[in-house]
Amino acid sequence: MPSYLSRRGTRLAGVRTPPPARAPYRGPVPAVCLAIAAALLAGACGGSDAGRGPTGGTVVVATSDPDNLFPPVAVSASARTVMDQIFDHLAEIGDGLNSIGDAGFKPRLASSWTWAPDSLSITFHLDPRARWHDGVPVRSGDVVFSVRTYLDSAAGATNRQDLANIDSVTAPDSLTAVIWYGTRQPTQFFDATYQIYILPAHLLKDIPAHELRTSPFARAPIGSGRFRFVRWVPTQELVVEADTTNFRGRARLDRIIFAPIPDANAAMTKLVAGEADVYETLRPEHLAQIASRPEIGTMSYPGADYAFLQFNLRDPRTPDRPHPLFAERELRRALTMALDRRSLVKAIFDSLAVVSMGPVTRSQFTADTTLAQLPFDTARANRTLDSLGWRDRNRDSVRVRNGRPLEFTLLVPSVSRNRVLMSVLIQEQLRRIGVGVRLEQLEFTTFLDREGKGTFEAVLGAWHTDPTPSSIRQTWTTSGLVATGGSNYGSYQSPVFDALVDSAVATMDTQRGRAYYRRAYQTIIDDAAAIWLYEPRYIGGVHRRIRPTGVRADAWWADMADWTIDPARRLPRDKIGLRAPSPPSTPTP
Amino acid sequence: MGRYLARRVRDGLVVVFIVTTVTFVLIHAAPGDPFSGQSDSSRLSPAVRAQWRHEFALDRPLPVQYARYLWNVARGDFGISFARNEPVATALARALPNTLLLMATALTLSFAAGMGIGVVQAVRHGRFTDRLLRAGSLAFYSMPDFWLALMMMLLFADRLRLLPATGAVDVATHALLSPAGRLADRLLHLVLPALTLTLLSAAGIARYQRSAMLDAATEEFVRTARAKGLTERRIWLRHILRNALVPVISVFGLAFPALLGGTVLIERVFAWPGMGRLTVEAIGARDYPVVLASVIVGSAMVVVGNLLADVLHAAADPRLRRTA
Repeated sequence: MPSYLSRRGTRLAGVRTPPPARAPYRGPVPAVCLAIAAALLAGACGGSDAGRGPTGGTVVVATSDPDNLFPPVAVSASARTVMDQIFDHLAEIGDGLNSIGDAGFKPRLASSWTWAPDSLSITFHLDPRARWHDGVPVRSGDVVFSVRTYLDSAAGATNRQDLANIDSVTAPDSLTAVIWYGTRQPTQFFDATYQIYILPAHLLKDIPAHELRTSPFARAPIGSGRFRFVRWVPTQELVVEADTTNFRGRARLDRIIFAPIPDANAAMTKLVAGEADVYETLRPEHLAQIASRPEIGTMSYPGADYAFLQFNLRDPRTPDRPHPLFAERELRRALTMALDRRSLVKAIFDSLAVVSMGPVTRSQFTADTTLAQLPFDTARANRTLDSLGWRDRNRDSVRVRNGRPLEFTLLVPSVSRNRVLMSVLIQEQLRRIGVGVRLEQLEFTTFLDREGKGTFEAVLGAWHTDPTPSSIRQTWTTSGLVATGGSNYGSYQSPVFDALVDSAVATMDTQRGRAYYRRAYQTIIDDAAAIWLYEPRYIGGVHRRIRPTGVRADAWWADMADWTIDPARRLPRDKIGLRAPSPPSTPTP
Repeated sequence: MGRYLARRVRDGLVVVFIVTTVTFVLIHAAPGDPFSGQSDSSRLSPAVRAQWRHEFALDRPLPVQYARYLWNVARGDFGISFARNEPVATALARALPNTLLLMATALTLSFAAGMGIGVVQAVRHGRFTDRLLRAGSLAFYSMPDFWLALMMMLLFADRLRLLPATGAVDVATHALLSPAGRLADRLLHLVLPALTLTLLSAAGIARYQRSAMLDAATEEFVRTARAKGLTERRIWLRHILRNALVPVISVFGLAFPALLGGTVLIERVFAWPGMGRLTVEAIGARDYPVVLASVIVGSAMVVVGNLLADVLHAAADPRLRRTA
């Protein structure tokens, strides 16, 4: 097991933590101390975030191609992987992924911030050392431009609806930006930081908002992060290199090359053949292959996904009517109790997943493993179905009530091998209690289409969560119904659940928020709006000469600037070094 | 001949137009939204999706979209890729040379190898060499392309470490190499995908060549040549082989689209940045402009391939030149 694996989930290396408060020293400063301080400052590359360890080396990441590098509109995870190297936020979310208030957030472009007494505005004080990769200083005008771009409907920011509470942004001076809010909300700080990348106004302000997505900047961006963009040949390579004069310190690595490999087995071969250094999501069958390769280690991270069997509570043919089966709460509970979820997860993932506890992942700060789950109890499930009038009268192993058999169609995305396997096992387990399941495998885009339109009886779905648990409002509450533009595809509706989520989302107190979320989770679990199946635990393959740090649940790449490469084990590509730092060509507006 | 070629080009344009029209209708009729996102994590809100649909004119009636598309294509504008946010022409210009390089290499190698094997089999007809080559070619002919590709990759890239596994160049060092080094790097990356395609298609060509040679060997002109006292080598190479070329040239016309189809999987497995990979990813993402442009280019390539086969036919058989 590599040394870094045992440190997963602990405090991340290379991350600055505030020193303990103590009384300032007011006596004379010895000359020798000044000399030492000056020497340290001179050698510190001007940055406080620079981790310790050797610099240099090249990391090749086998990944997929980004769709775009203009942050407001980029939708793919691979784009975020790259953008997080090139761009900065005002502040960075902490390791605990807390999204209420500013607890745990670390300074980035903003060196500090202050809340207004009424909490309706936050003043961000920018780090005066911050520079764009073309040398221009980062100023409050960039913050103003960025926030306005995210809010401008013409720019088409994908998360614009998440920022609806931001009213305006002002810049009292060149190093101060104030973000104003419509109402007090616990995620105000999260919205202004995690959701918004700061963009260079001097390069973008003259481009019409609707053209930003297809502008040259979107393919050759200039940011302020610890890596600067070098080149992108789509489907072939995307290269970023250390910004040697970055205000947060030079990245420890010389460069990262993102190499898109569409086939998982090919990516694995590239890793074991030494052509790639990182492959982010190994499959269970790859682990044995990895085990026999001493030069390849693993990097484990909890991930932020959960998968479920979602019932459609409305009739897919006539959505204004309840579903003939799943509108009945007791039936849904019986189906949940008929599944041995632990054995399902074990059979498919072994140790690479855990049973999901509800519409929340263990990486979110509201996760609570003590939530009461519906037990695996086939006898009770059978009794419930009997009491509801579902009987196997003609002994064909499918229960019937009023002439209607107890069977339904389950949509499964064929691209997900895990969900396909899971669906077959679910079909078998439900068959044992007299429930027929017809499996319908669909190509992914078609699956999303059917799911989004609500034209299904049940789906094996999955959600990727961001750190804020408030996203369940969009996916499981009445305000998230498809008709209102939300993603509550199963049309689960519960006034109690809605009220608890509304309270949880509105409270500024972390403990009270947790308590509300806990009650909300318990309500939806008891109502069996879905059968909560699994949370994958991700394992990436990493060449052992590389020492990763800061593998965060929502972003394994979060601290790649502080990854190091053992000088004694460097490959030829690690010895290339950096070329003379020349900023990439500035896109013409 | 000139009028014949002009007629074939005209017919080819009609074929491309029909294929484009059918593809336009089919891709728009297929379920799924171009802006639904490609993962569970990246679904766009209906408002943003509607805005993007409006920007790309997808909210207009289909005939209007089609007329607009044709007008733009006629002016050389293939539109903007929904998924890649770049002009489709740029994506094509990047992918097409890679596919042409791979196809041209594979086509040349597979015909050279296939015809060579076929000739040897015909000359050694019924002997051990013939049986051995027949079994070998049948084995490769029966192999699924993705399986062979993965096996080749495992053998040459992982076990033997002789060749790079994927990609068209070494992403870490290519930019730093000399022009000769870059060429060598590119050729090295070409070997595995080209060799895989060659093994898959050479087997079929060899079987055609063998059978065409054996058919020609029974013709009366062969008996005449032998009666004239020509050497066996001269008879096989100058008389039988030349007459056996015509059916094999027909295979060329068929092999061109087959190879184009074959590159789709091979490009995906070897992460070769070509048209096949571009098209497959575009279909999955419902990237209509890229799909349509790929179909136009692909059908044009098939038309050109068939045209080339006709020209070669005429070159190989003087009777066709007179009737053309």
